[in-house]
Amino acid sequence: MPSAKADLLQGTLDLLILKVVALGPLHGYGISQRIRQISNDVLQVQQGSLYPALHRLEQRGWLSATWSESETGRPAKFYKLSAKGRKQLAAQEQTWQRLTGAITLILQTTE
Amino acid sequence: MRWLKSLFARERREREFDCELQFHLDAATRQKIAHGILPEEARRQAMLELGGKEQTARQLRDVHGIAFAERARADLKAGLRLMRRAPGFSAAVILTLALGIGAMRSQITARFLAQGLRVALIGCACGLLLALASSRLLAGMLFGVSTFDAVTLIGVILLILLVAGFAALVPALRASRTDPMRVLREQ
Repeated sequence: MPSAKADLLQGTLDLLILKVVALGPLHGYGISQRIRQISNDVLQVQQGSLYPALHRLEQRGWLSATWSESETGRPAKFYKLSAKGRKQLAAQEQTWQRLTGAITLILQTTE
Repeated sequence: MRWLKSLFARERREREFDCELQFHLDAATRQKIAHGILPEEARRQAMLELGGKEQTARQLRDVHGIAFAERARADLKAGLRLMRRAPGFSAAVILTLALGIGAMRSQITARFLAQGLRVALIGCACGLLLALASSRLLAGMLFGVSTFDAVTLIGVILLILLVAGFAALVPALRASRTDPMRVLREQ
């Protein structure tokens, strides 16, 4: 049911990546799978934008990457949350909560 | 300094892009096959979902600022074009600069420069030792990447010396511009 799938809001991809990677090192494919699974198939990461985002976060020092053996035995690039990224995640989470809280308040108003 | 390094590390990075994206495609294809899609079709869908390997690699290249070198070249070209369009003005600027760094003051300038460069040289030597030592540690954690890259090391050292030279040039020129008569009068 494609209508139940939601496109990611601008700027939320970084937050989701940081959050998912906080649980443990993952390669790009694992990250996209994890986001899909945790959101019960609602959120579909556009894979074309996933890798640029990962590399951007790595360049900013929020993620650190290492090549190591994957579950299939082939080398894969694993991304890990850095200390800087952890701080960033906390800040972004807070911003998100404030924003969605405010939007919810407005949506709840009745005439 | 990053752009210089990225210039040398370009090929290595390209290989890493390819390796990473290929891994993704293979994993996605394998999962689709597991869901009962024919291999050929599975591969096609995986590629489609990624938005093409080369297109994605191009985006990664942008992220890494590899395009920087190309942009810098374009800027240089634009600068030269500007100079050609205003030759009189350009000549005046160049002449002023040349006179500013002129021969009269070259002695004082040279001494200050040597001072600045000596510090930079000591720093480079320490840095090189540290880099070689830490690359030993790093070697165990890296895959398919050589930790010793002579071209990068030499390039970075040359660049540091160049920057240090420019940095030392500023106080050197200021010192050389001091009027001896005023110093005497103030004493």
